[in-house]
Amino acid sequence: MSQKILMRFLRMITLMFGLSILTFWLLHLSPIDPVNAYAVSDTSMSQEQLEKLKEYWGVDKSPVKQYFSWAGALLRGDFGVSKLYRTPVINIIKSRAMTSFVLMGTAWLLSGVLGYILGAVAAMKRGKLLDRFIKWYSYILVSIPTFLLALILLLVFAVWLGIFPIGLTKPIGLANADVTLADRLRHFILPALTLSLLGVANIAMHTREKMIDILNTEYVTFARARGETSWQIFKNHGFRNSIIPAISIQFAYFSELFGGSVLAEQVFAYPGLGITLTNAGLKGDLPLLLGIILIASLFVFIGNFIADILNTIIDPRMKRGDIRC
Amino acid sequence: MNKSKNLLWNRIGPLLMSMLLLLVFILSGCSPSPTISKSPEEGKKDELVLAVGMADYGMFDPKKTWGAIGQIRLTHSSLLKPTKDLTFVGDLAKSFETSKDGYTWTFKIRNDAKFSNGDPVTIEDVLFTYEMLKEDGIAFDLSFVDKIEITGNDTIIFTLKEPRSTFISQLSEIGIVPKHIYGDNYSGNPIGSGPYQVTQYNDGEQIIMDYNPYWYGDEPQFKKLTFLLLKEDAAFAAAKAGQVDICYIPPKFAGQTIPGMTLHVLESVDSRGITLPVLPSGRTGNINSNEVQVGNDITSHLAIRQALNIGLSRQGIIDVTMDGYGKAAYSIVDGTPWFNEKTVIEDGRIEEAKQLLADAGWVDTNTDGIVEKDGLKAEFDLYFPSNDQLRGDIALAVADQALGLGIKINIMGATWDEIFVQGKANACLWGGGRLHPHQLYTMYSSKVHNKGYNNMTHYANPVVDDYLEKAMYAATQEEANKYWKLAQWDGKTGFSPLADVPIVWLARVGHLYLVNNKVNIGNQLMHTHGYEFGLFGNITEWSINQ
Repeated sequence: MSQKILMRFLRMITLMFGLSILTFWLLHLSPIDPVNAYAVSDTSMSQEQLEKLKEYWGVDKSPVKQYFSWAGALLRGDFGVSKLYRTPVINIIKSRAMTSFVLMGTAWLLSGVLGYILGAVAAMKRGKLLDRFIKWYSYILVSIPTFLLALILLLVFAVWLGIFPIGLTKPIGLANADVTLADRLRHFILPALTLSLLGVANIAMHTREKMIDILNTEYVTFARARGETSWQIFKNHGFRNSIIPAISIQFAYFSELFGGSVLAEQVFAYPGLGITLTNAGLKGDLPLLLGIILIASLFVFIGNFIADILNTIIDPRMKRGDIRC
Repeated sequence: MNKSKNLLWNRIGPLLMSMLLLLVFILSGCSPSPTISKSPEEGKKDELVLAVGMADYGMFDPKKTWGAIGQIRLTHSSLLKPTKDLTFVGDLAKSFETSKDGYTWTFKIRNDAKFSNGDPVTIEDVLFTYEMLKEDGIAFDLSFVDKIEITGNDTIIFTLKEPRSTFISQLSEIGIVPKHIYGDNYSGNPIGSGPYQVTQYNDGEQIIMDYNPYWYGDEPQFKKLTFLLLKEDAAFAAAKAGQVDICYIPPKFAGQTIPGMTLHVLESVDSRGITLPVLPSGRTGNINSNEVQVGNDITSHLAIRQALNIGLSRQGIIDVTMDGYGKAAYSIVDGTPWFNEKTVIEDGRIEEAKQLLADAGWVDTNTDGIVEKDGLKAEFDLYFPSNDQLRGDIALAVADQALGLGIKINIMGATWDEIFVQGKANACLWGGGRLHPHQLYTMYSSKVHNKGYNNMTHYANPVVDDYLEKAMYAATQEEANKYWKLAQWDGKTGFSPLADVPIVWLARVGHLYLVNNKVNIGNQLMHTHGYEFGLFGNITEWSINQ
């Protein structure tokens, strides 16, 4: 096991290294000129201002040089300074990562559990009204863009019913020191709900398919013939067999969650890494973009790592090495 | 089977029920807690909640461009400030003068100004601010300043490398920061000498500003301002939920009413127009130091530019694209003291425009509806940034109307990066508008050809150049304004609709706000390009409607 973890760790280091080069290279190839992106707001900038701006962004240096100066600093633990916000990247990530990860983590967990239950129920009730309802619900959700669902929820719950606030992580105009946990929770619910509702569809449909496969197997027919109830079939055969793909899918879904959270964050003015990431990308803020990408990929990597460990625990065949993940 | 169904339900049922209960508990348990610290109905109202966009642009630090779009009147003071009729008067400066030759600017500052921490604003702070920004050189252009000196404890003297009457723009936009406090973390602790101080900044969420008790000007009625950093849709939803006092809205929402709020359409100099390259194709030049194609064989004909200028209906475009919430524009400075009012023309004259084209040899010979001359079809591309809906709509309306004149315009949605490549060889949907005349110089002077993003059309007219230089060299604002006006139209030539029109200006976008009926936002200053801050130029005059 420890050897496996060590191997994983090494793989992670090389992944980070490769990823940073790839990001760097892609951004270099992209048509986005950070100087243009900056100057859009003021096209009367003088040539002298632009020269200073280029020097500041470092675009006058060769990309290889730029990369090594960035990577060198990173090895010393310095993520660099965001060109856009003129603030150390690590400060920006710190201030936003917690919000983001709590939001995404909750949404991820909720959508996983709910999605799995819905998918399993739909498969057990295949063709019945409940199944049709769950399918219908999932199809609608996967086709709704995140921001639309966010706006609808905002309209219904914040504007018409007034039970939730319109956005932000804390009450309007209230000093940080006076914000209670209950306040934070109230502000947290709508964005988390938006993300959870969307995530449900994916996992529900996958679980449903997998569960139907399982229910069609001979061992389930045999179990039924032995007089096992639906619940027993689910408990004895369905659960373990369907949870593994569900877990893998849900962990892979993590990266998608990032994309969805950008839009939800924007609608609810719920500041997280998502908005910062898009800004950094669109304005060509390399240090910030690289910083967030590294942190995010670390997160996804750890997620997948946990999935593997969980799968090993759930499925004894993996531990024995009968099948490899 | 029936039995098994019940069993399943027995197992899952309680789980579902408990989750439902938990949800209800969360909802009910939290809803009584106060969400908003203000309530418009109760007692004396001295707080405002504002959803006016991304109000943290520049993050309170002049080095991060705080001030460049007029934000500083809330939190900082500057040497000069614009008045409602757009003359520039002293703010921190109690007196100022420009030498006859325009090279030396001398300011005496007031001695009663204090920062929000109680420290006096000294001449050292002013010197520090300007030297720091000159050294940085990005946020504000101060490259034309040769040296800055202080004498005594209240006088600062700027010596310029070349005369520049538009220095007033920097002087009224640069907020003074305290020398002994300013540092890399200034955004986190932005101490200034304006009517308000930033007491809390939740990045990406809200800014809370409280009254600065050391403020030397008129005491504002509203002691606390909370800015919500919401996008248009969410801001409007917040207004509908009754949580904000002032909300900015795009024209598409203007038809909707919210009880207790009134729509204010505020005049702006936020202008949109189309740049039309004045040179024929086949040349090269620079945009931001990159070599690009310059010139267009169609728009280089004066008849084409003039036909569009008099033939397009500006009001028609405003009605279609902004639901009428705008004003016709004939320059980028309409409504300012440096706008030449003689250059307002009657437009929508389709027949005259067609005649003008015909007289210049542009005739539709092959009856395809588009005019030709010497085998050249009157067809060109008009670029607009595809992420800007308003500009896209205007481009579409222009193309539609132009077709009626016999001119075919292909609209091209693109990124700014592409526009900054195509911009000198094609028409572009351009925008701008400030509370100072410097853009007239950067858009029309031949001295700035190939510099930055200036003079996209490569317009050059020696007479205009001469007026522009004289305007820059002028020692007084009146004298400068005289030359700015002459550059537009001196009776014979100019860049206005009456003569060369390298840029056909079309509309000034009305800035729309929904304002709580109880709040009086006073007599507003002209709003500028960039939405969020024009509103607060007169914040100390705001009051409660009885």
